[in-house]
Amino acid sequence: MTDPRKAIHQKIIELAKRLGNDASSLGYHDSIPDRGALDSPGLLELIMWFENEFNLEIEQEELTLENFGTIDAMASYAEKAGA
Amino acid sequence: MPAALYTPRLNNNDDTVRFTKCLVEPGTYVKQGDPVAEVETDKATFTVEADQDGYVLAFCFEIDETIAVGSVLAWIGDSATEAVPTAAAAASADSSAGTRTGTPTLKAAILLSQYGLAAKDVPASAERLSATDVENHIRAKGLVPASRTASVSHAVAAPSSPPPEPGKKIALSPPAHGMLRTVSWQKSDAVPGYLELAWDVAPWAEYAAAFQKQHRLLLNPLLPLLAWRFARVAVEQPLINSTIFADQSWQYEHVNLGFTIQVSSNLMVVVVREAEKLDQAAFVKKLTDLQRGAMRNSLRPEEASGATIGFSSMARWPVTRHVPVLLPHTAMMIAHTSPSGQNACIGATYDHRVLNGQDVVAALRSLTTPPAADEA
Repeated sequence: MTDPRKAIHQKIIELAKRLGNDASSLGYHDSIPDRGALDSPGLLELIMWFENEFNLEIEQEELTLENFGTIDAMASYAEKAGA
Repeated sequence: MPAALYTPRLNNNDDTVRFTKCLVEPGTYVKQGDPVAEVETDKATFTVEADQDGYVLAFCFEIDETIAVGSVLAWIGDSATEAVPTAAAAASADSSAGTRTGTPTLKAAILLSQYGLAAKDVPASAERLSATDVENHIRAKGLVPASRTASVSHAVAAPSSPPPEPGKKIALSPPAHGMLRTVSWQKSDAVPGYLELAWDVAPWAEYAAAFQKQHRLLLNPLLPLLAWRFARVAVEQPLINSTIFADQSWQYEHVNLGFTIQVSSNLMVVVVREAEKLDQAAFVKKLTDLQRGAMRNSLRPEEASGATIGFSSMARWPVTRHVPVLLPHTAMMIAHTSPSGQNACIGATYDHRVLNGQDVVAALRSLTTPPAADEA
């Protein structure tokens, strides 16, 4: 199976580019909000894509830094959710 | 049993309209308030909206046909496979519509427009529907001025002459229609002014960062918290939460905060209703829910209409100044922008019929101060 982290990173790069930002150097452990490549609407778009990509429905209470703050965290969340 | 969608009256002098466009295909599921068709007269074009949820079964006329006001324009049913009533049933529906109400007087038509009502919704006490009939109906139902539902308030004045250079007509999408109606309201019904203040963003940024940490939020809550604060300011300064109607002030009962968001290439407004009742955490959660709902295209009509105050940010682009258009029937819209180095400003468009510059400056000054601990 393809590493989900690559797909997540690729999506972040794509969304960041629309805002004029470069997220290509974002590491899997780096904090996505702290790097500033995506603003809140951008992060929401990322979550929407994530739900569709991994066939998940995420409750708002789950939208925490622990679960979605890094690419690694997002990949772990998808794995735990059985996606 | 399918329900008839009637042809609206666009103005008091035209008893017929021209059917110009189907905005949905027969078989499409629509929600109340969704655009269904376009009709026009020499003076105005008008988007006819569904008056209930259901499937559009059929249109009763061909494009470019001239049709009588009050006749059945389309049928809406509970399922896409429902049979369309016969011509006789349509005629009967037209006829029964005609007996419920009379042609509105000019004053009644204006009132109907302001409340988003159709003449057929209001019982007439005589042959013509009078302003008194409409006022009685408004009082009995406890209605407030509306910006949704099929009515002449959505009519957009047609330009007096076509564009001077060759080109082609391209149909507007429903969101583009919505934006057209919004800006048309400001053009014809408000007296907009704009002002802005310099402000120090640091205290608010610190406040939002602490809130984000405390609630373990993924999303930066700065804009939702500013919007929440604005709703509180509107409670403290009720004039902000009012409009002008029939030469009188109309004080809204609740603070419904309209927040502009971008979904794909469309600009939308989501509305946090009764925002004055929400604490910060509940407000931030509600606004995030609405944004996700807009992205999923699953908002209910009341979640995208009925704003009494507005908030708009273009910080993401990053814009250093923008002058937003007032939302229909609102008096103040916050214009949040991106700080440029050490300099930041926050502004507001306001309806000068309702507010003066001093009112707006006072509101902005309150807004730029983060809430005290006991306010949260």
